[in-house]
Amino acid sequence: MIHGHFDPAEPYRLAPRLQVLIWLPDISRQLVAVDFLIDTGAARTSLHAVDTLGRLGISLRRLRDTAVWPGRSSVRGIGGHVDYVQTTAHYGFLHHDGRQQTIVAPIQIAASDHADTLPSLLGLDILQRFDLSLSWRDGRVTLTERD
Amino acid sequence: MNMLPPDRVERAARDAAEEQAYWHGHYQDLLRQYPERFVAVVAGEVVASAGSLAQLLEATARRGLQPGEFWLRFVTSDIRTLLS
Repeated sequence: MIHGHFDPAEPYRLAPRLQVLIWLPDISRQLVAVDFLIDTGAARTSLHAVDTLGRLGISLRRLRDTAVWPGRSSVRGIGGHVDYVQTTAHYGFLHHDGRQQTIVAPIQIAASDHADTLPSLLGLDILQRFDLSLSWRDGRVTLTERD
Repeated sequence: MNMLPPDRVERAARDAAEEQAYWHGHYQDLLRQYPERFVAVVAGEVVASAGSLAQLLEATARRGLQPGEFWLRFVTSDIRTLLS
């Protein structure tokens, strides 16, 4: 069982979040904790500027280098159109009993700082591996491994 | 199978817990002092604030801080700012 939390910002307190350790071995030596917004409306998990630039230290110049990222996609969402590149991520989930669970899966990285206040999103590609429970009454965000 | 660098997992997890506790404990104070701004925090102290992420990263770089060496967050009370 993995515990998330609700965002501390008052009008945003309804938004569930989950800290996940992220390692992108192909492009960064940093192992960082990303406080993802749990977004069941997002098909794919994505990193946005506050985490790519501010935590992982990946420069915009590198993200825009077509030699490094031959494939990119443009995604239209609530933040408008954003160009994304893709790499392999190691997602580290910390269970309540101290166990660590690692999932290796693709992750999208926004190649722009246009929407710099947009949080990174934990989408259905990862969420579907868990059962998700939210209780606003009790202030609990819980992910449980699916059998 | 643990595929994350094991020597760094424990520290990253500890830092993550500390950071989460910091934001929850100080958010309302930060909101009063730095509304609608990005803030960078080191050892529980705000070391820089700015109106954009790019400006904040410039300010932290001037202090010799590299990404990953500080906590950062956009402080807002407006949910629309985060989603649009």
